[in-house]
Amino acid sequence: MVQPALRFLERLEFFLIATIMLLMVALYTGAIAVREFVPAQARNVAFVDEAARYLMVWMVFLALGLALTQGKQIAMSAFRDRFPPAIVLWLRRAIDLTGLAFAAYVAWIGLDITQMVAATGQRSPTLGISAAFLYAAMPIGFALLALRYGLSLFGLIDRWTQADETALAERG
Amino acid sequence: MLVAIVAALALILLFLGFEMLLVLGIPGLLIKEIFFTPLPDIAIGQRIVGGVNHATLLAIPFFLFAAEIMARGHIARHLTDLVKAFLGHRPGGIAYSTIAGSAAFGSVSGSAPATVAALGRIMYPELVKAGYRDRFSLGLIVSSAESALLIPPSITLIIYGWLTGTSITGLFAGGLVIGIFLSVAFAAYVMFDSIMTGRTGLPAMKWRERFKVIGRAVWALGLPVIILGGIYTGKFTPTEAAAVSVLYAIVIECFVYREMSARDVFRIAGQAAITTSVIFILLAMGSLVSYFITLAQVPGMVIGFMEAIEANWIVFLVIVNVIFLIAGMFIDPNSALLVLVPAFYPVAMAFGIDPIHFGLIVCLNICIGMITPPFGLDIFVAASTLNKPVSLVISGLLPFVLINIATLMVVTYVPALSTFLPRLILG
Repeated sequence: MVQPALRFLERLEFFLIATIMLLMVALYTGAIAVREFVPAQARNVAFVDEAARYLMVWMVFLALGLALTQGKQIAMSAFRDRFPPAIVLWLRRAIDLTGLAFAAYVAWIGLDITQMVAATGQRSPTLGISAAFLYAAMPIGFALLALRYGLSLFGLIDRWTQADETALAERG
Repeated sequence: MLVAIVAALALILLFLGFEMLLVLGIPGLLIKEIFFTPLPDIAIGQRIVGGVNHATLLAIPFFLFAAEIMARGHIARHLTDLVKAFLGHRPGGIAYSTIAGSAAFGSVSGSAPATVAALGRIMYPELVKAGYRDRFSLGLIVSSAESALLIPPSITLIIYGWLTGTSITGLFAGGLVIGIFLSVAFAAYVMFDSIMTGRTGLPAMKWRERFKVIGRAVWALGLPVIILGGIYTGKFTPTEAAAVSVLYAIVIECFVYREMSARDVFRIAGQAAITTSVIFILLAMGSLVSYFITLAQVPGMVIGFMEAIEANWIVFLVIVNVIFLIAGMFIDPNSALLVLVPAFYPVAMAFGIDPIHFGLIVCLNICIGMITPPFGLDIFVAASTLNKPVSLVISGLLPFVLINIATLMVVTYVPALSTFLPRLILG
């Protein structure tokens, strides 16, 4: 029951972040095309800069949990994995527990902040949507991250076997 | 005292192998709870979300996406074939082609690990076939890829520009000069090696064949034209050039070379999103740390210390180089930037150092950190892409690290090298 649900969540996250990435490219290049070829309409694509930034914020936070599952969050594991296996096991539990507590705390204050911003009725300058929409990415992203730390703590996902340095392969 | 405890905690978390987002985030939150209790939580949210909500940073996911498309498609192959057609027949020609191919790929991609992966797969077998030892070949591939971080577009320079408000266009112009300078330094070493070992090159290619190679590479060559030409004619901002380069890379890989499907593009988009997230969460956590570094007036303390030891700008830059080199050996490049630049940049300005010059010193240090054990990211990328032991890769790097350090000294003490082109362009 747990595993199919997790696989569904992973596929959903991947679908969302890939779609956002492509959408950002489409919006940005579309806006350039409008500016170059139909300059009279340039005013109508002024929203793109803000929309792309908001999408980027959501993409970054939505991918947090998936990146942890795939062993891609950066850590200096060179020393950690040289300890005796029993210590490594406890160290990993300590890391998962700390990660769970930290991510849950940030998700919680993120929720607080989102509600606070929503209450002020603050709107974004060009899109005119509630600024709370931007801040909501933080509690949701960190909740997804906390979930993964928790699942790893209880051995429901294995984020360590793929988390050796080979997983660092595609980074800037 | 408490600052020292928090810093020590960060170091312990780092060495025990906690994720970098925890290494930066936990001390960040602790400092807030201990020293800045009246600060409302919303300030935290503004730093974390605001840390990534910036138009300049949008260039990074675009350049990463384009780099992954090019690394997995045919653009890297065609660019290396092109340099090989013109350099391959010289003594040491394959080694020169590796250096020039990395620089060429670096001019369309801003990611050093993507360059190691792309060029490593193509050039490693050829280097071995040409009779180069494993160690030398691996060292050459890993270190040549550094030019990707210097030659525009460069993700490191974009982050530095965003942190300090320095013109990205200016940084890119300076990076172009330093990137070429470093490649020439490596080429000089290859030349020395070729003379000492009496190496010969491949048979020279006929001009007819060369034209064929040019014809195949011409689409790939459109990319640097769009990126650099677009930025320097003022047609595009760096972010716009990045977005256009993604679209261009997709179009040529899918419709001209016809080896990539829509499904592949979607999969690469998702992977690039994850890569972006992994870097950006550090920017978010790091901007929390930077905020407190500024609030706690750390730059002022550094200036006070420099005055106490009567340091001039030369001594200051020696100290900066040593600190960045050590940090670069242990933490990833972006975390090093986020923690150290806010502390040292105001000091550099107080010494009257040019922001572009300082940025290139920092970037070159980051480059050296990426090829220095124990945490040189590019070392692990080469080991995993080419399936070689990490120790073998490291053993080949020593001469290249020494060349790098010599280059760093020249770049540090000849400011004009970094600043003449930006001044020429920006006026």
